[in-house]
Amino acid sequence: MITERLLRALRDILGGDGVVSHATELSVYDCDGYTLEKSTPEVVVLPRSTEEVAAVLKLLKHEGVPFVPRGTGTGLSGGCLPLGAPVMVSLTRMNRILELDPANRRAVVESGVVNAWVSRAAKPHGLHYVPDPSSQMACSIGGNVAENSGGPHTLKYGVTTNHVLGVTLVLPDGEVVRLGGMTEDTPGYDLLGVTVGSEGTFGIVTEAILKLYPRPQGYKTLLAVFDSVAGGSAAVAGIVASGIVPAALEMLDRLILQAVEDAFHFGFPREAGAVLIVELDGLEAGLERAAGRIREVCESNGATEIRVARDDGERDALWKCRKRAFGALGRLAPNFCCQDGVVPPTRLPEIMERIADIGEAYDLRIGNVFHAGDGNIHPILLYDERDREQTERVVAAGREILRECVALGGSLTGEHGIGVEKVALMPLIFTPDDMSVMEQVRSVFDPEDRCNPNKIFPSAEQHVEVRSPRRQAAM
Amino acid sequence: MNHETVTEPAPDWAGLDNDLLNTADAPRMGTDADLARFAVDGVRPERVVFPGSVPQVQRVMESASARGVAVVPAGFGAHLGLGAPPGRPFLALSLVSLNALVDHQPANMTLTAEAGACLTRLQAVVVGAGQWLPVEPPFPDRTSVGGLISADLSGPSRFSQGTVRDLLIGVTVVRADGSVAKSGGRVVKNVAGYDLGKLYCGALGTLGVIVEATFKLRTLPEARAVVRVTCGDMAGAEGLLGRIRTAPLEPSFIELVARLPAAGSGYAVVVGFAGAEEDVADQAATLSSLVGGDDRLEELSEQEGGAVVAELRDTPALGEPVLGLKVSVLPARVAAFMTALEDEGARNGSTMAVQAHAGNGIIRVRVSPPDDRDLRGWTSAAVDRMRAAATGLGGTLVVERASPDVKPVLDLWGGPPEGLELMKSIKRTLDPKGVLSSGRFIGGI
Ligand SMILES: Cc1cc2nc3c(=O)[nH]c(=O)nc-3n(C[C@H](O)[C@H](O)[C@H](O)COP(=O)(O)OP(=O)(O)OC[C@H]3O[C@@H](n4cnc5c(N)ncnc54)[C@H](O)[C@@H]3O)c2cc1C
Ligand SMILES: Cc1cc2nc3c(=O)[nH]c(=O)nc-3n(C[C@H](O)[C@H](O)[C@H](O)COP(=O)(O)OP(=O)(O)OC[C@H]3O[C@@H](n4cnc5c(N)ncnc54)[C@H](O)[C@@H]3O)c2cc1C
Repeated sequence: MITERLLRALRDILGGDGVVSHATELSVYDCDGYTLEKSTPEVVVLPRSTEEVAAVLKLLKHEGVPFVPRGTGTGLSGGCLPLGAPVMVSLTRMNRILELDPANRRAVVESGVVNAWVSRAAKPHGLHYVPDPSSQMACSIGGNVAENSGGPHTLKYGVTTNHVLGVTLVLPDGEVVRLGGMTEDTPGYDLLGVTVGSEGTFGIVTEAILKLYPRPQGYKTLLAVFDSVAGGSAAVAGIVASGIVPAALEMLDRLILQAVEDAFHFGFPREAGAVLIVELDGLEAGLERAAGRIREVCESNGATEIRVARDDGERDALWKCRKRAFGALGRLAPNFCCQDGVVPPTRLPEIMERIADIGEAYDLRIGNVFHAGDGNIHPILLYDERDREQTERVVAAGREILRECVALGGSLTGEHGIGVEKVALMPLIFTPDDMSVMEQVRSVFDPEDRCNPNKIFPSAEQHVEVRSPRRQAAM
Repeated sequence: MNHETVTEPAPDWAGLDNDLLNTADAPRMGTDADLARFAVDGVRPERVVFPGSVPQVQRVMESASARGVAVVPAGFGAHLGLGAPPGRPFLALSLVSLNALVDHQPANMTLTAEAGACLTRLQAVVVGAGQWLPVEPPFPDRTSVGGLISADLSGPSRFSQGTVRDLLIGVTVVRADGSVAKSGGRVVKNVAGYDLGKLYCGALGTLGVIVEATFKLRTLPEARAVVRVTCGDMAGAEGLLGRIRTAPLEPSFIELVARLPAAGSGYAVVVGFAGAEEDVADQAATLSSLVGGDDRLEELSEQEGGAVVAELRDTPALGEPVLGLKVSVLPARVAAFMTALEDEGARNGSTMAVQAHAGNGIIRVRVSPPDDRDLRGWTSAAVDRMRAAATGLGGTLVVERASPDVKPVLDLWGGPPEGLELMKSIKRTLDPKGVLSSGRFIGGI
C-alpha cells in the first residue's frame, strides 16, 4: 500500500530522519505491552509539531491511506497495533512541556511528553499532575488521553478525563481543532470529554492542557499483611464501605509479592497470602485518626501485621516496588497477559475466588496486582509464547475472567481500553444499538474509518482478516 | 448541508395523538395547566406528555419522528429557558413520571436513578447512608436527574468535587428515532466504549432523551465550616484569594460575592471547608491568619453556613426579571473581570449581583437593568461589552437567562466555538431529522 512516491512525500514533510521504513527498525513497533498479537507497520513517521502532523494526515487523506497513532507503546490492549493501517504516527518527538502556569494550576504539554515529566516540572511550584499510571516513567500523555488512563492515585482524585481541560486534535483529514481550553465550561458539546478515552480513533492528539494540583501536605502509607487473598479482598470492601477514601488502595498477591521481593528486596513478607498498600494523603491533622480507622478495618478482616512507612524514603521504595511489579514478572515467565476487568468493590472476594478457580481449570499461573479500591482487577496470566497451546489457554482464561466481571455487575476494562484485545467481548456489555451510536460518533471524527481502524467495535473485527492480511497474531 | 435550512414537513399532530392515545399502554397527557407550566420563553407547547416507562418514551419519540413533531425534553420544566426559544411548535416530553430510584449501592458508592427523579429526594436517600451526590444545582427540589445533566448545573463545591461530567458514570438515552442506547455502566472505573455521557452533559436535550443515569457518590464530610471575609474592595478580595491559593488549605469551595455598584464593603470571600474535624478546625484557623487588616472575618455556624450556601446556590428566585450571565476566565483573572464589571456597571446604570466560583474562574452575573431604558437595545449592548471584556481575558460569556422579549436580539453563546462543525455533525448524526430541541443550542444546533 505504501509506494515509493508516498515515502518521498512523507520525507519531504518530515525530513529523512522523520520516516522509518527499514524492516529491522520497524520490528520494534510490532506490538505494545499486549504481546499476544503482533503486526508491523509499513512505515513509521515521527513528526515534531502539530503542523507536521497536519501535513502528514492531509497527505494520507489525499492518498486514502489508514494510519495508527502511537505514543510510547506501553498500552496493554493492543491499541496501537497497526491493523489495516500501514502508517504509524509516533508522537515521541513531540515531547516539550510548552507552558506551566502555577497561578492557574495548568500545564500545556505536547502529547509525546512522558507522564512523569509533568509532575517533575511542576514540583518546584508545589504542584503535581495526579493521574499516575504504574507505567508513568514511560507512557505518554497522548496515550493517557487516548486510554483515559488511571493509576494508583486516581482512586481519590479521578482518572485522566477529570484532569484534562483541553486538547489539540488533528482530525484524520488534517484539520486542526482545539477542544476544551484553558478555561472551564467552554460552550458547546463536550467534545473533549468524548475524545478522552476514544483510544486513538478520532485523530491525533498533539497537545493537552492539564490540571495540576497542590502536592498533599502529608501522607500516611500503610502495608497490611493478610494470610489470604480473601482476607485482603474483604478488607478492601470494608475500607470502601467505611467511607474513608484513601488516595490509593492497592493489592498484591503472593505470586507477585515473591517476584517483587526477589527483584527489589523491599522486605515484603514472602509467605503472606496478600498485602494491601493503603495510602492516605491530605492535611496532616486528620491523617493519624483516619489511619487508625483503616487499621481497625484491616485487623477486623484478619490482617496479621500492619506496617507504616516511616519516612518519604520508605514510602518511595514501596511505590517503586508496586509500580515496577510488572517488570519483576520476567523472573516468572517469558510472557504475561494483564487483564483489566472491573467489579463493584463489594464483589472483590468473589471475583478473586473465581480467578483462582479459572487458573486451576486452565492450568495457568495467575498473579494479581491491582487498583483494589475501585474494583479494577489486574489478573496477570503467565505464559510462554512459544507454547502455542498454553497461549490459547491464556486467551480463553482471560476471556472467562472478564465474563465473570460482567456477570458480577462490572466492566471489561477499567483503564487499558478495549483495543484489539477485547473487541469480541463488547457485546457482553453493549447492545448493537449502544454500539451503533458510538460508531456514529466515531464517524463524525473519522468518516472514512482511516484512523486506527479495526479497534473497539466487533463490527470492525469481521473486516480484520480481509483488510489486514499481514496480521500475524500469535494465537 | 445545514439542517436549519431544510424545510420540515408540517407536523401531524392528529397523527401523533392517535399514535400515543390509541394504544393499551398510553402515556399520560398533560392538562392546560401543564401547557402553561412547560412554556419555553413564554411559548406554550402544543402537547405535554408524561411517559411513565422507557417503552412509552420510545413510543413518543418514534411517533414524533415519524410525524414531524419537534420535542423538547424536560424534567420539572422549572428552567427550560436555558438556550434559545424552540422556534417552532413543540411537544414537551416531561420525564417526571419516570422517577424511580433504581439502585443505590452504599458500599460501592454508586446511585442509579431514572431521569425524572427529583434531586432532593435522591439526596435524602443517600444522605441516610452517610453519602451525597456532590452537586449543588439551584433549586434542587425542582431539579430532575435529566435536567441536572442536560443543563450541566453546578454550584460552589465544584471546586473540590468537579461537575456533573466528573460524577456521571453511566447513562441511558432514548434517541430521536426511539431506539435506546446506553454508555458507561455502574462501576466507578470503566473505559469500555466511548464516554458518551460527556456529550449529554450540558447538551440541553438536543442529542437524546435521558431516561436513566448512574453517578458516583461521595462520603458526607464529618465536619464542615464556612468562613466569610468581607473586604473593602476588589483589591482586598483579590489579595486574599491569592493568599488562599498558595496556603496549605484544601477548601471545598472558594466563592467571591459582590453587589455592584459596591457600597463600602461590597465584596465577600466565602470559603468552605469539609472533612475530618481536626482538618476543618485547623484550616479555619489558617484562613483567619491570612485575612488583611481591613477585612472582617466571620466564622459561620453550621446552620448559618448552610443558609449562606443555599442562598449562593438559589439566587435569584424564580421569575425575577433579570439577565443571567455565566462567564468563564482563568481563576487568576477573576479580579480583572470584576474590575471590568465595575466599570460596566458605572457606565450602564444597572445593579448587579455577582457570584464567582473563584477557584474555577466561573463568574455568575445577575444584572437588573435600569427600568427607564429600551430594554432590547440596552441589554444587547451591555452583553456585547461584557462579552468583549471576557474574551479579552481569554474567556467566554454565555447568557443563561433573559426575558423572552429581549432574548431574540441577544447573542446567547458568543462567536462560533472551536469544533462547531463537529458539533453540528454530531447533532445531524444522532438526530438527523432535528426532532430534539433543535435550534436551542449553540450555533443554531
Ligand atoms: C508496566 C505497565 C504498567 C501500566 N500501568 C498502568 C496503570 O496503572 N494505569 C493505566 O491506566 N494504564 C497502565 N498501563 C497501560 C499503559 O501504560 C497506558 O494505557 C498508557 O496510557 C499508554 O500510553 P502510551 O503512550 O504507551 O500509548 P500507546 O501504547 O502508544 O498507545 C495507546 C493508545 O493510544 C493511542 N494514542 C497514543 N498516543 C496518541 C495520540 N497522541 N493521539 C491519539 N491517540 C494516541 C494509540 O493509538 C493507542 O490506541 C501500564 C502499562 C505497563 C506496560
Ligand atoms: C442560571 C440558572 C438559573 C436558574 N434559576 C432558577 C430559578 O429562578 N428558579 C428555579 O426554580 N430554578 C432555577 N434554576 C434551576 C432550574 O430550574 C432547574 O434546576 C434545572 O433546569 C433542572 O430542572 P428540570 O429538571 O426541571 O429540567 P428542565 O428545566 O425541565 O430542563 C432543563 C434542560 O434540560 C433538558 N432536559 C431536561 N430533562 C431532560 C432529559 N431527561 N433528557 C434530555 N434533556 C432533558 C431540557 O430540554 C432543558 O434544556 C436555574 C438554573 C440555572 C442554570
